[in-house]
Amino acid sequence: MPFPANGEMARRVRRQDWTTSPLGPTEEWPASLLSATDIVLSSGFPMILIWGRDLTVAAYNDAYRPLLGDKPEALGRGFLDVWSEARDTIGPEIEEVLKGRTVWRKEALFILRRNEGMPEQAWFDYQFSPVHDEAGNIAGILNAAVEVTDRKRAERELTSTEARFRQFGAASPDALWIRDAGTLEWEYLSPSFDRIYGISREDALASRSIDFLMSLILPEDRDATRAAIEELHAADRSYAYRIRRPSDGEIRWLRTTGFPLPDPSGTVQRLGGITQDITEEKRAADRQAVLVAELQHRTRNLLGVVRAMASRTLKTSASLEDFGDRFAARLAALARANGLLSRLGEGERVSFDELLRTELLGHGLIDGEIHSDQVSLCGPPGIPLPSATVQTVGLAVHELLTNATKHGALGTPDGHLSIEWTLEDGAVPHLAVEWRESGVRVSRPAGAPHSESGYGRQLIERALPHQLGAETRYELEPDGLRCVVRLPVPQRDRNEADHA
Amino acid sequence: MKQITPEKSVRGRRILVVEDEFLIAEDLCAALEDLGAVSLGPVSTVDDALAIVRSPGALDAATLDVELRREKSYPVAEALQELGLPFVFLTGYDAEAFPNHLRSAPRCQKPFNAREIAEALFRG
Repeated sequence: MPFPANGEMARRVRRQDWTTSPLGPTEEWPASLLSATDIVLSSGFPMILIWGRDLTVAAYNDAYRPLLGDKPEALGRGFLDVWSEARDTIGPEIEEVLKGRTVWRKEALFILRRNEGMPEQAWFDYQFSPVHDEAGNIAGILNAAVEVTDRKRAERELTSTEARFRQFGAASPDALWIRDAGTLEWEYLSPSFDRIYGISREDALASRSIDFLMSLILPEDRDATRAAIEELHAADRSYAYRIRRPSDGEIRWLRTTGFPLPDPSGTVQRLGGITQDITEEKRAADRQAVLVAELQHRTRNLLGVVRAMASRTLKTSASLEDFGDRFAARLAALARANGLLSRLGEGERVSFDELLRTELLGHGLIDGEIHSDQVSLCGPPGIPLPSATVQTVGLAVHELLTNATKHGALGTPDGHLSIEWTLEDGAVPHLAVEWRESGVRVSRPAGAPHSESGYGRQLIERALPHQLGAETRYELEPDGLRCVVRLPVPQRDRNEADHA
Repeated sequence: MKQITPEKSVRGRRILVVEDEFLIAEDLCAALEDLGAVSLGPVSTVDDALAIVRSPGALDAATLDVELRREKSYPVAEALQELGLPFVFLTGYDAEAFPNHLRSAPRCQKPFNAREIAEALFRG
């Protein structure tokens, strides 16, 4: 009995009407064809048997069936018709086999149409080998084929995931790393590592030991960092530490966010982390802390000055109204000086002419750039005042201007105020200012100033020397006040609260 | 704080005022004088302050602004410590990092309160 094998395909081969096929009815099949069919049908390995000049499909087994998808029944049809979409590849291979060779291919890609005619990629390991008839001629071809599409897809998926991860690591400005959880040795370091740690990844990976990292970390930060890394076995956490960067010897602040990488069973085999250089952030935070402390210091100082001004003004006030007017004017001068200071950028200074113009403007003596006929200014612009002097100099100018307006050169039509200044070079440069009033009718005895002008005089004669190391002269001459101030204006003042 | 009329213990005491902001210094001198003390200075530098502190018998106590124009007033505090004279720091910072040996020195916040200063100087 032909085809004793069991299975769906054995039944189909038996039931197939072969009379119209080039192979003819099975009763007429030669023994070689029958036995080859038998081999195919009894094999658990996917196989198909092609026979005769027309490459007719004589049999294929149950294992081969899935390869055909929803194609029409292949039995009795030409093999190259069944796989017409692969004809370009397998046609020439079959020619080879018919010459007596065996063709064997691995992971060959085909675009197949076996699912409602939709093209799909499929990979196969397969072999074509010749089958001989009784006379020893090649009469058929045995094709064994294993579809490896699923495996191939998984591999490609893995490859693209890996490629994506590599790209991610290469592009990240932060250093990504993976350590062995047991030995704490580095297993992976992303390219940014070189820049952030200031050593090459090759060197770091060569001496994988955690001691190598520890040797870069400043001694006082080592224990805490080591402890933090150990804690990554249990949970993720962030920690910051300083290293001395070997590439340039600079001390850099780094922050790492690390986390455990458990395997599917939950065991932590690796630790992962992202390390970032936060030196600039730290510097900004430190700078801000200094600025806040400085602001507090200035505010308290300013409150002290305001109180001193209030009690001083109170002592020389005839009435509450008198106090109100003069105190408000002094407070306004203080506000103008502080306004100039608060507009400064880091490292910038208020210049003397700027302060002077601000006060003249505040007193309504100039309007923009146009000077009153009664005031002349002469001196170089842009002489920088140490910030600690601005408030006191501003107040002094305010008092002088108030006095000039009320009792001096600016209070009479013929009066004139000339302010000249220059920068004297030296080990410490000095700003020299001469304030000269003229045309003042002496209506009161010289040397007996109005009680109110006493404050301006005191600021010039006592406050500037006390506070700023200035040399000053304040003289009431027959036709008006002459006041000379020499004020040191060092390029940079160490203890100066200058980062306004 | 127990109110023990600081005037009594302050009266006639010579208190050196070390403060670089003239307006504040002048105000402080006046406030101390109002309490009956004799104010010395004001001075604005460590050198000027040391010159007075080192003159034998020149003063009974001092108030020290911490941040002078170019320097801190610590050397003055140390000289006063050696002489066993009371002093109080005036500081504009909420929390200031003092060196160890000055950490226990009394301090008052700006803006000053003259009674509080007197209290800190002569509380014993």
